[in-house]
Amino acid sequence: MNEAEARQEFADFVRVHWSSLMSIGVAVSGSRQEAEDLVQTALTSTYARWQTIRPGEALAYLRRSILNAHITSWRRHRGAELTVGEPVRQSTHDTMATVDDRLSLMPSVQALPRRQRAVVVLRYLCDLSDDEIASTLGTTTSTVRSQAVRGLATLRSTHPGREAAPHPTVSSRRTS
Amino acid sequence: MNDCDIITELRSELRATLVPYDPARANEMIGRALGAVDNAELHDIQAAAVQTGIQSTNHEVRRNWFSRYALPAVAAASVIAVAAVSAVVVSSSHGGPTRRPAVASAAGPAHAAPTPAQPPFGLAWRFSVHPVAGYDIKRLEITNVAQSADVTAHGQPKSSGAITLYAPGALNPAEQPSGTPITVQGRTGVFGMLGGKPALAWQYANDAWAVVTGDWGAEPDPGHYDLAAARAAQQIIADAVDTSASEPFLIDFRLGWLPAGLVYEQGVDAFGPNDTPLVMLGFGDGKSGTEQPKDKPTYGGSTLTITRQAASHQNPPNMTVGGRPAFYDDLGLTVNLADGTDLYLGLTDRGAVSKDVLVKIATNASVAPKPADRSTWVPASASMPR
Repeated sequence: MNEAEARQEFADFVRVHWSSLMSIGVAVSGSRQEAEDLVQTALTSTYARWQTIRPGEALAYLRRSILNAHITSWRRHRGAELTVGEPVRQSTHDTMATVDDRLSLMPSVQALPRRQRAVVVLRYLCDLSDDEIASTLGTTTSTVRSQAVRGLATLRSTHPGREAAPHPTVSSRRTS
Repeated sequence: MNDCDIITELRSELRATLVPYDPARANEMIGRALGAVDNAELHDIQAAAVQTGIQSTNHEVRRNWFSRYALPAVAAASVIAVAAVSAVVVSSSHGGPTRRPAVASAAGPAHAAPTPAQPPFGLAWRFSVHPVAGYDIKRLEITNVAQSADVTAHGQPKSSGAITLYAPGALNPAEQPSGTPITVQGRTGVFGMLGGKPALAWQYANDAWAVVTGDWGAEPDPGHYDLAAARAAQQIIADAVDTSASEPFLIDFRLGWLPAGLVYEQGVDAFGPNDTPLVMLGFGDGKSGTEQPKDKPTYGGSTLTITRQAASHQNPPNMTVGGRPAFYDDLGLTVNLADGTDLYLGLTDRGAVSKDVLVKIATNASVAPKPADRSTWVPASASMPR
């Protein structure tokens, strides 16, 4: 693959996944502006290594880069981490109506330790399997599971009084 | 509120953060990423990234990856000595071009079990794959735990898969999902889902498993697969894998010295443009990719990577090594060889290996006389300091 082809392939790939990458950035940072910074950093570092990234693993690499960039940001601005920037946009989807009048979970998500936050976002936003999350984060499946359990426990403990929400069917991946 | 409630609402709230596609913004960010490769801005961005584990090297960034891989069409035939002293010329006693299996064995390899030690799995041999119509199978990545090759279906870039052979004992069959029993080259296997994708696994030797996984059979709806199509494609690829252990993992340089504690962790056998061969060795504390059997080998797991590559001339020399011009900073050492190639010692962590150590490694290294001719390369098992 020559340089022109690589540039085109990279650009096409990013256009396809831009929305999901930005969503990860917003979910972990709570801010559209910071999400753009995270994704930009990830895109830049990823493009520099584009030809070395295995086909089929580019998306995982980008996700990992975003999360690592977020950790960088977290370390640099540790003291300001708890300040959540731009409010999370409210969906017009019907299922969201049930949470309109309640305290959002998102501030609690963004207050989770960074690894737990990453696991929660990859699991419940990206719908990745625990194996995929482990691969993305460079850890083990058992660690992913334990981080998820701890994260959920924290969220549950910070929202003890919330009433049970309706149970929309959580679609699982169809494998056949 | 129980976990089910939390999960349900968490999904809903996270999905409320979904950012709609903004083509103008996306294009702007793409443009910045593309443009940053050749300007100084990238250095700062990458420096921060490297320090926190993104696992890339500034050297690669600053030099423009593509120029690094523009290996000369005609390689210099002279023996290149990195050291001022006489170099050890890589022996061609194992010569001949890398041998491809002549015929796929329908009955499976009778002597497939590799020796997991002396030399270790990652150096002793490499598996090979017979040509498969419609697929490119390239870029082998090797550690002491696994060997993995990329498989790309023609016309489907970045939508492909991989063949991974695990060292004996490295992949526990019990961790595989239940699936349909199959046979590959006469050996027991299973087809099912692994990591959300169709996968075909078989026991290529006693207690040693190979896995083919990929996106073949993917349907437009993400996460959905035509399993019959996926299985058919994976079976063809699996049948082409040869684990007869007859093919050494070849390297185009030899190391005469390494400091204590820095050990081989991974190798990459890849191709640049026009199928120009390119290999890389990675060294670390011996734990990368081996702490957990299913850990995937990654570039960044190593502390030091050594590659011979086309000269980039991106950085002006600031020292000499063995009489040859070289560039050093705390991210690595590049020695400009006489034949127009570089011996590049890159660090995944800034300053992880001292300048003196890098210089000593380079000074005691030697390179194959013809970088594009694998017949002059040396088996990896013989390329390490003795």
